[in-house]
Amino acid sequence: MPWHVNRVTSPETHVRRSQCVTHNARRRNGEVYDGTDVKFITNTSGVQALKAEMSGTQSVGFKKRPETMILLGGEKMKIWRTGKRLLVVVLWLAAIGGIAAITDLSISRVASAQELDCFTCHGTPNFGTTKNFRGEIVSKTVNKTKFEKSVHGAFLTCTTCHAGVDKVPHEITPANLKTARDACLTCHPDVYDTYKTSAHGQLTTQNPLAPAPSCADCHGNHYVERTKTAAFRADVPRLCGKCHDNRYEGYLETYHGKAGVLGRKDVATCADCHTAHSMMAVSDRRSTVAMANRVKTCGKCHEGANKNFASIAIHPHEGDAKGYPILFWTKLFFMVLTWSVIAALMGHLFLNFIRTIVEKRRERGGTV
Amino acid sequence: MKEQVTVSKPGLIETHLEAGGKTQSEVAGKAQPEIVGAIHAEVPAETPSVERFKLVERVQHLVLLTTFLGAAFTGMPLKYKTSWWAAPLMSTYGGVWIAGRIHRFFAATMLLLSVFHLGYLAYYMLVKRISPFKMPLFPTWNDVKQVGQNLAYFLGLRKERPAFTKFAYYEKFDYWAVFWGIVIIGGSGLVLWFPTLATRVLPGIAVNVALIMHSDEALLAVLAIFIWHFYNVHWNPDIFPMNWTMFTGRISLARLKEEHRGEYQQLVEDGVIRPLGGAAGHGHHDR
Repeated sequence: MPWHVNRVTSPETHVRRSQCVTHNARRRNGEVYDGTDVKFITNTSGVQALKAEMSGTQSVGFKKRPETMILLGGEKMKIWRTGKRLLVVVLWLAAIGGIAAITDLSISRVASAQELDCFTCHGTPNFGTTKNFRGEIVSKTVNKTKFEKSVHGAFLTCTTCHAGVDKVPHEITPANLKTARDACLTCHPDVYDTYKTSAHGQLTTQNPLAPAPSCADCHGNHYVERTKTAAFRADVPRLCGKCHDNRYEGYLETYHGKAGVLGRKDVATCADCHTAHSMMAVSDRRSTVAMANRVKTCGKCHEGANKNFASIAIHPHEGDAKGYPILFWTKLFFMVLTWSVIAALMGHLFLNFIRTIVEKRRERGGTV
Repeated sequence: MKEQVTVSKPGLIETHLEAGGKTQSEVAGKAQPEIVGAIHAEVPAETPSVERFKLVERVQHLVLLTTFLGAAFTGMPLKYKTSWWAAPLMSTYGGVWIAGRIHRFFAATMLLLSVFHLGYLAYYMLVKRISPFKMPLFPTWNDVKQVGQNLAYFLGLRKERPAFTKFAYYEKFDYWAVFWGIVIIGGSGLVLWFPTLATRVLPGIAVNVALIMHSDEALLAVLAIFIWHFYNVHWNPDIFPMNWTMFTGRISLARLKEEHRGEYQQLVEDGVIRPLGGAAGHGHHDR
């Protein structure tokens, strides 16, 4: 196993590791021995001696200097030992750096014993359902593999977000639910500050139960995706369409929507015009889609955008006779035209066909 | 019928009927003799035929059909984006962006063709001094009457087709449908192609209207071509598999007599062609 060796998976290993850490810290702090004593002793014997001393079964024995020391003489021995240690440290650093560079993995995660416990139950399929803070029924199962592949899987554990959930059965208090929901702002305060001012954020900060999305509604909770990928970008209209379905349908009828569905990656999606975290009502002067700012917003892609250009309906609804009467009547006109013309042509064609067949039979001398 | 009819008959615009009011013999004499069938393998040499479309008109049709198919096949996947065939078709073109460029290439060529055709009409009007009202594709009251007569024929209420002249009403319909279609689709297409330019003059909603017009009129055009036009020139049992007249430029006298009796009779009367024997006009068709 290459670098994954570092991912310590058993609680036992974990405990051993932390004990070592404690030992080293103690050694550094000089609680047990002073530096002059330790530096002549090999690591293994040092630890053994330390263990012995800690258990109180044996008095400190390192003050006896090894015979080699006497043979080589004090100063030379000191230099030689120090050099060897430096070499070992340098080699270790080189090895770690090399492996990290090869695997391109800068963060290694040490699973905590607590996380393993969570997946014991929550990792099983169909573990049941519960209600979230909105009262919506959600699954209690979390796919461990999917979680670990997500953006956060590499370094967050369950209780990073679900803080305070440390007993079985869990105490589900309003405070607990709130902690989980607001967990994002612990690490992403800047995004939260932007979000707070948005149309969505104003609703949810006033009332957490308001029908407006907070972080997880768009980014997901346990399987947060990278947002800079083409896949996430292509999914944005559908995401927004979960609530703004009317706008979504209208958007799909425009070139942006159609080309996007067929895989064009550079067409505008919702967030390109509305922004991802600071979307505001058209009536808000700060909004990127406020009438005063639209020319600039369209101009990001459309060179030479003007005021009329910026007033193109970007997600119109042809069926909305009141909102878009011109589009409604245009659509209706062409529908009536198309289907009446095609019906007439088909009728003509059909009658022609019948008569042609009849003529052909008659010519062959058959009866009609 | 071994006799060859060597009349070169003018195409869309010039007919002997409207060629400046000349006498029949003048028109016939002016016509350049051609060895019928020698250059067009589809028409057997012994089949008497007359020219129906000039070379320049046939080339226009060829350009129109190429650009139409090109634009239709690159545009339709966008209209029916969620259909099972849309995405695979788009990817064969190399994606939406490239398909868009191909679409514009065909569209621009078709618009150039339209300009050429308008020039062609203008040439006949201004240089050859033929009134557009006398051009054989101009709709007349007689066409309306012939619609009724033809439907009666279909229903068995009449024994014969109406005496269609050079272009029957359904052929005129095809011509004017293309005319209307290019105005609607071409005009709206230009707005969609250059939205920032168009909105210097037009309001923003015009671009939305243009999209509906472009898309819906294109559907009408595609349906009309693939159902109606293809029936008339391919699927019709009298014609199957194909009517080659638009490519060879010639129509056999037998077919002329059958489908354009008015014109046939006029040509016979004018002495341009000799009448077919009794048997040739009925029953048997040459392509």
